[in-house]
Amino acid sequence: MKMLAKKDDKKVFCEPAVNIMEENGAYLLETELPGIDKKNIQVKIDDNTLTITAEQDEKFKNFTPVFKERPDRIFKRSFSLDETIDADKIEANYKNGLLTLKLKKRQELQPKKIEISVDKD
Amino acid sequence: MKALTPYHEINSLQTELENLFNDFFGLSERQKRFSYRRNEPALDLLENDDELLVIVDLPGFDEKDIKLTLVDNGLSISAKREYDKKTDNDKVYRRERFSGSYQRSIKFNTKINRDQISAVYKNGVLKVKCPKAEDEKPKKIEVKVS
Repeated sequence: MKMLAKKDDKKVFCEPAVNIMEENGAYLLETELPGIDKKNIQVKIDDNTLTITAEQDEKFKNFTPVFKERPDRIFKRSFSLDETIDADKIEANYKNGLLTLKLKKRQELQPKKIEISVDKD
Repeated sequence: MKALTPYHEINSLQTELENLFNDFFGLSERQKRFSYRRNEPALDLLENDDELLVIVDLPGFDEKDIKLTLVDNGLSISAKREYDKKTDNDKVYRRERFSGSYQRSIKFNTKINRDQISAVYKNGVLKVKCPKAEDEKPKKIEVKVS
């Protein structure tokens, strides 16, 4: 995670750490978003740019901070997609603070098996 | 890799500006050290009259991989994650997430009740509640009119 700039008095923009892998012909994009409720995560694709935004919304009533290293954060990071990725078939999963996006390659770019039929006469 | 490219640290001027910004808004030295691949997870300590609350960022673990130990009058938190083993056909394009052992310790100035500590792991964040020892809690003294 990398701190960028402060939005206002409270929230800080952060660039979350990511891993990018290719597995079984699909790209896996893992993004660390600790302490975010699923409903506060946004994944948007606009003009071949994929943007992940997640806003932390933690409230601890009746507690005063002694020290804080985890400021209220807005995680934001963008990625450029090329035409090999099928933007309509992106799967998202959030578990234990980790957002995993599965980006599939377009069908026509997948290796395809062609059956060969044998003429029987 | 062309297919999926992060926009990232576009140029050094931007980084400079960010640092200037951060300096101006007075982030602590520790906060400035935030970077990828740190083995010390970020931690908050909060308190009220009755308890201390420790909050630790540990994204992407299984709860069984997190170890929490009570040492003296403090906590030791460790968590371990191995590199994902991938087959030869799989490619890794970017690895910013920390792999290995996270370790963090914290010592309390206030005595805590060792038997009443509870911990919850949710959304990649560990929250540990440590009730204060009875004699550390503020006590109300009634003022009587004579």
